[in-house]
Amino acid sequence: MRVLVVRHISLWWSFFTNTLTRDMEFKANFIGSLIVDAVYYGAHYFFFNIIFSYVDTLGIFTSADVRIFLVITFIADTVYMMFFSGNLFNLNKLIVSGDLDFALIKPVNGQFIVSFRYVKSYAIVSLTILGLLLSSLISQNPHDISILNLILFFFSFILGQTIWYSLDFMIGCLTFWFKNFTVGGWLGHELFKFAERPDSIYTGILRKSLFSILPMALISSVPARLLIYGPGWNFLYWQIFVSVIFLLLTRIVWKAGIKKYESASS
Amino acid sequence: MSIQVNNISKEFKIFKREAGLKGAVKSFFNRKYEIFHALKSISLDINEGEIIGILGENGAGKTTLIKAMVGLLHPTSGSIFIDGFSPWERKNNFLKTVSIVMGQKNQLWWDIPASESFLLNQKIYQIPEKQFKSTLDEMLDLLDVRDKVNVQVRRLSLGERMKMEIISALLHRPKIVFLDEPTIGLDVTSQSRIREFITKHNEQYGTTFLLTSHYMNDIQALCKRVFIIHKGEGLYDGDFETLVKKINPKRRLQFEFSSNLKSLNVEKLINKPNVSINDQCLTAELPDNEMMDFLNQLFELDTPASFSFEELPVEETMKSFFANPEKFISKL
Repeated sequence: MRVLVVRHISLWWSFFTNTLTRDMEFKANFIGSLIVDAVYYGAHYFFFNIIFSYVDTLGIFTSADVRIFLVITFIADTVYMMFFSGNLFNLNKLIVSGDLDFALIKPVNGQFIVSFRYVKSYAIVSLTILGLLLSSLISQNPHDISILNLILFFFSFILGQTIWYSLDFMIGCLTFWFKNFTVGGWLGHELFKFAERPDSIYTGILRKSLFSILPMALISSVPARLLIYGPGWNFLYWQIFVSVIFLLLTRIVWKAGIKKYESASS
Repeated sequence: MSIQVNNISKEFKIFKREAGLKGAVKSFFNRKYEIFHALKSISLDINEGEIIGILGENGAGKTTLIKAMVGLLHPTSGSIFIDGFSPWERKNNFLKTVSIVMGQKNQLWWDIPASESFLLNQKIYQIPEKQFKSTLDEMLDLLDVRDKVNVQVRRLSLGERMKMEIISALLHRPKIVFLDEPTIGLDVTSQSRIREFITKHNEQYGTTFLLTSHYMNDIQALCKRVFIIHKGEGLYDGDFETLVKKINPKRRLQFEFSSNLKSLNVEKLINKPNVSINDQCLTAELPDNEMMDFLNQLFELDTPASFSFEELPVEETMKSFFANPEKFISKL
């Protein structure tokens, strides 16, 4: 098991250096991507600042809490972009064009290759800035944010990413059955919009769905809750359960998908 | 490492609709499918170290067969075993021993030099540093692309790119290599270089090559044995030379008369099909069993200034075969 983990980390590092080499060939694109990120995150931050100029709280989230939540959402988005988004957005194209052949022919788990092959290296810069911003907000937050909160947050954040990846991956795999499902990439993107708002604003069936079938509330709201308010074991256990189930489902869907794979004629 | 293909069939469900907007609307609500039989009960045994040509027209099923053998496609029925492995189980130990090159697809990244992709493959296939360097050095020299290895792939010519693709596919020294039209679109020099390379690699490492190509020169130069697929069915499995002879047993005779043709009675000879005269030279394309009689008749008429025999171009023979394979099936 340890050997397997080391091998996959080493492979991921090779994917990273390989894509970084490519990204640095195109300076303008590299810098432009940083600007796009800054504008995107800035617009969201500004939007919530306007909301809090009219109200004091959103559910249990105060203005200071929402700022932390927002930065966590941005970090979740950036980490997702860095590791998975480019890969999964292209899954449809890989399957339709038959280029998936080159991933399946390698002596490495095919799901690992299609999920991690491209790393958006420029995201490191955004991630560093957002990390510093989160540290600053944590130090200014009126709640007592302990080391335990930080550890739980970190763990919960990884689980959130696992859930998001699993959901997006399974949507991408639908191409195996529907032959062309470009809308899948956008579907994942649109679903994330539910994660960009604090879970406390959702009620009723929508809230239940966002914690179960479409567990977008588990991506950034739950990590934010654990960071700000400390141990919320029920949230954490549920997050662990959902991420394990979703991850197992990706394996089932992937294996069934490659059985259906028709490649493309030469 | 032997390959055993036992009765494999592959069916695809294909969506059919009428042309035009009306057809699109109709099929949106009532989609019709039909089953396309890409492979029909194909059986094939390939020995270690063989170079075998897989021939067939476009859409005959060559690529489907290759993709099934390499584990990319699951056959509808039948089985394939490669050194005891079932390809679609996709075991890493199996995948380390095979490789595929597709002439119409690139696996190298366009924006970076091929050397970067080679390094990545070294990691993926866990190739020891010493072996990686020696194999790469050897192949760069044999394919004459050493000065191009650090140039971005998109700046390479088609021939150079294909050579890099081949290097990338062979770096881990696979035991079986599937080459799907590796020389397509290349100039004659590059084609020839790739053919020489394949021959040397096969001799040196005993690598098994399965080759599809529409260039009969590739097949003639590399493959003693060919397997022909027609509409998904195996038509012929055997020696290529024998096949060519079966399809077209004729040879071409060039006979140059020494006497003036006007003084000779050549009318009865040139009335035969496949016989023509141009100036003093007669050309005849006849099967061996008719050739000697015909030649005797020529000798009776005149002493030749010169005469020669030559085999008919393989390209033409195979072209006539693929134009109407049914006509030749009984001969095979």
